[in-house]
Amino acid sequence: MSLSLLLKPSCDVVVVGAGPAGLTAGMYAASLGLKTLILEGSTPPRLALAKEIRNYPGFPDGVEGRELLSRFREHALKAGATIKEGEVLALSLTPPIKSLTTRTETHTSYAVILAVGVRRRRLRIEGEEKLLGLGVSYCAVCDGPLYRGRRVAVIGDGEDAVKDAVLLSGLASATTFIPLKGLTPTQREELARHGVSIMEGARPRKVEGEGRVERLIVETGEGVKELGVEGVFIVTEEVPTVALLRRAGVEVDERGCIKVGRDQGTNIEGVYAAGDCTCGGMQVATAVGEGARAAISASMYVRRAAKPSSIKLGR
Amino acid sequence: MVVEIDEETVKQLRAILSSLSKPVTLHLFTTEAHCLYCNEAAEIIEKLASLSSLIRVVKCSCDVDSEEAKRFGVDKHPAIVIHGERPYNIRYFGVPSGYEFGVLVEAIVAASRGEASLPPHVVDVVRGVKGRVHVQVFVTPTCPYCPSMALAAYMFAVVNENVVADVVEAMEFPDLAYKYKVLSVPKTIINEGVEIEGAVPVELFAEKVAEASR
Repeated sequence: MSLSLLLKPSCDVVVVGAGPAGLTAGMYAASLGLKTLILEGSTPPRLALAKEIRNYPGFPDGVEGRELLSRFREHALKAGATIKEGEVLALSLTPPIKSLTTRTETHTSYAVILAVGVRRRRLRIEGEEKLLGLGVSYCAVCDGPLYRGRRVAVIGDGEDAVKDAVLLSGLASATTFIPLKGLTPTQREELARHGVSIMEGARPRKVEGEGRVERLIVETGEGVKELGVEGVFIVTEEVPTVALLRRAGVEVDERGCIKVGRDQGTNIEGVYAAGDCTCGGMQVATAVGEGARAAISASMYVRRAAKPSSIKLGR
Repeated sequence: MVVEIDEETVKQLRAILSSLSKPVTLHLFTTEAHCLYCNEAAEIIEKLASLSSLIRVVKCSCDVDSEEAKRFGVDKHPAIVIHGERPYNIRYFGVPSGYEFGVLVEAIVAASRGEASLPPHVVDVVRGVKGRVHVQVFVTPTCPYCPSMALAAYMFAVVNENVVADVVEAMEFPDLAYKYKVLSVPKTIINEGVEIEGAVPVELFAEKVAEASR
């Protein structure tokens, strides 16, 4: 007896992530005629937290992050993409059919576009975990208002850390910024203009306090210093689910960024990555560009892979 | 402060509120004594109510010692209690602005329809709550992680009347924030004893609520 099975996945492409890169990839893929599913995790994309984006083309007066995101979302839906909530818990990316499992469902597809973004990373200094939620915070927009009139420190790198320090300077009685990497002259100027003290070259060593943050211990060129603060905001970034991606065979570099080629392809056939998770430009515009390119590449791949295939079973 | 809702938002709100199936009553509690945000809360509620004939506002300008406030479990101002298909224990304390405005709208829809948007296995867990459980979710309007916990608490209250769900705007009630050591949001206090820091999966939240009732 011989039996032929036509392997048919539940959709052509699954996009993991609903930030600028994911929604653009979903919009392009759906516009290109692919049955497209976008999986949206529980953590809001970084763009949703941005008060104002001033460097996205077409918005010379700036645009609120949430508004831009909502337009991307509307566009993806209008193009025919489906958006579902679901955190990916398991991945099988072996060609030809990939499968992604969330808590409630398993989705299968020919191609996968990873647009998982970045999330805040722990510093792993003494006292950080013990005092998390008791003065140690990874979200200045969320918790900043609770520190009105108090002294705070911001530890971090990148544009987001600078923005958070500026935001907190309008609430806290004193804000100290401890950059983990170098600052650009513009960033230094921006911080100074808002009265933020900068401790360049300092290394955070310990957060201390009984039941809540009372001080931050830092090492400087002039020895160990103690900063009396009630809030310590940590603003560093890393790609989430790195362990999951590694287990699924996706190559990432030493920073946890997904390695991609010019077509946004990863080391696995039919698997693409776009946006902050590739550590490209870390900008909305670059995320959008990568998302579009990933979808075009995925579309070409799906058209090749979707040719009816058959598996012969039996004797 | 003047509360303004732009035209596009009004359009979206009308579309969302068109899914209301039964009348909803918003019991609004304000006071003239030392209430910084009562006027803003009232303005938001009135504007929202003007967008659907199925939303009715019942105002009570009364002290927390009044019979009416006690009957609804209102111990601070401003407060909004949502009654829909049934008199649910859904309460919001503070001005429902920023991300929390969306939570309020979702809660109104759920109360009107008598339906909770929760996975079936979570509904089963919440249905199993036998004793009264008081859930307090502390939030700030700028916190994008807060609505998931606030909404989940409200959905639990729709599923089971034993769940009393309060969402509290942490900045407006500094004494409470101090009492519960709210230095980060969302922070959830269940029956005064169990604390949840941050946003957690709804399954875990439901389990904690169920545990607290045992």
